[in-house]
Amino acid sequence: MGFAGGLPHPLLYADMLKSIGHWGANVEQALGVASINHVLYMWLAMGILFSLGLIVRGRLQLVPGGLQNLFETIIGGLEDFTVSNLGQEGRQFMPLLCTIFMFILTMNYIGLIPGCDAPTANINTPAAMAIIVFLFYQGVGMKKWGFGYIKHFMGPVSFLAPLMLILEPISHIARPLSLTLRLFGNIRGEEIVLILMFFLAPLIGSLPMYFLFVLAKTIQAFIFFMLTMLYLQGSIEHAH
Amino acid sequence: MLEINIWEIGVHILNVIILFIVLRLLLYKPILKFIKKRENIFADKADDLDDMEKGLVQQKQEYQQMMSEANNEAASIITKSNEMARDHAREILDNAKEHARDLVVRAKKEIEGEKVQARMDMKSDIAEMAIQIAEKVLEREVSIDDNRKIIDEFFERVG
Repeated sequence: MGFAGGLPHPLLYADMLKSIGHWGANVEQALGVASINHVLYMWLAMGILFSLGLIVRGRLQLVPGGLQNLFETIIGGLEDFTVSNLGQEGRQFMPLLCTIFMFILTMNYIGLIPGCDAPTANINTPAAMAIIVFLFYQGVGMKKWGFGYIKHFMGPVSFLAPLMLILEPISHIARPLSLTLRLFGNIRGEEIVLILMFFLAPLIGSLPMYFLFVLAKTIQAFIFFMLTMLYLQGSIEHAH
Repeated sequence: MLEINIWEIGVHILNVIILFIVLRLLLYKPILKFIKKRENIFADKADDLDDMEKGLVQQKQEYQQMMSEANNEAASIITKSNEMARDHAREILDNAKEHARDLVVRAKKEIEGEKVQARMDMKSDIAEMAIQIAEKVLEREVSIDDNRKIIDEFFERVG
């Protein structure tokens, strides 16, 4: 099956599982999805996060250890960052923002494990997340401002309002599109480069790429998180 | 895979919602609660330390005051002791002077007494000697009346 830009993936654990048990096709049929691979890897990412969450929760100590320290830094740091940008009101959005960041990060990193495919390299995954973000920040804006939320679509100058009422919805609809394509394009591109480098020079070619992509995948997760936060900020702040 | 599949998107949305709910209950709430708890513990400890520091500063001031009072008291005791010693020395000196004066007076008296006694002894010796001389001159015994008469005449002459 073609993955990275049509290139065959050298090894995929999900394919191996399917070939052994022949259960993948049934699941694909039941879920109505074209390929179960990225769904499986997504479940793998969820499983990793659940497991780490359970481990951390069970070992909470006053003086944090390695894993607790990592999660406290991520969660505490993101909360502080969110509150510093959105104010105290932003604290309530932290769980969603944190979930988005950690989930995308984990899914991106899964792509670095040999034999695994990053679920975010499939356009449906970033699209699902972008739709969630879009619906969430619009819902927050509507809940907060009610009918007055329409002012957010009218622009800063009143005589331009009729024009802005056409442009702003387009701009808002473009947001999930840009979120989706940015994440998908980057991760898919990285997957392609990784596979190409693996074919060219298995160890010397792909190993340096790993270091670069660890950074790039983290940045992509952070960009998605940042943009979500900025969209939320736009929806909860006063319209001009 | 570039084909958009609504069902797949639906599955992913469901996954994200499940993940959000589970992580919220499993991770964020406990960790944030724990961080808050730790902050409260540290804040309490910081308050305790502040209180302890205040107490120590107060105790230090009290000790300094006590030391200052003790120093003052010691200085006062030393001054008083010096004065007492000076008074005592003066008293001893006065007593010694008085005693010396008494001794001098007593010595003078004794000397005077000795002088009188010596004069009387001398007077008696001279009288005896005068009687003997008179007996030699007169070649007879001199009576007590004569004796007295001769002595008196002698002393009148001698002065």
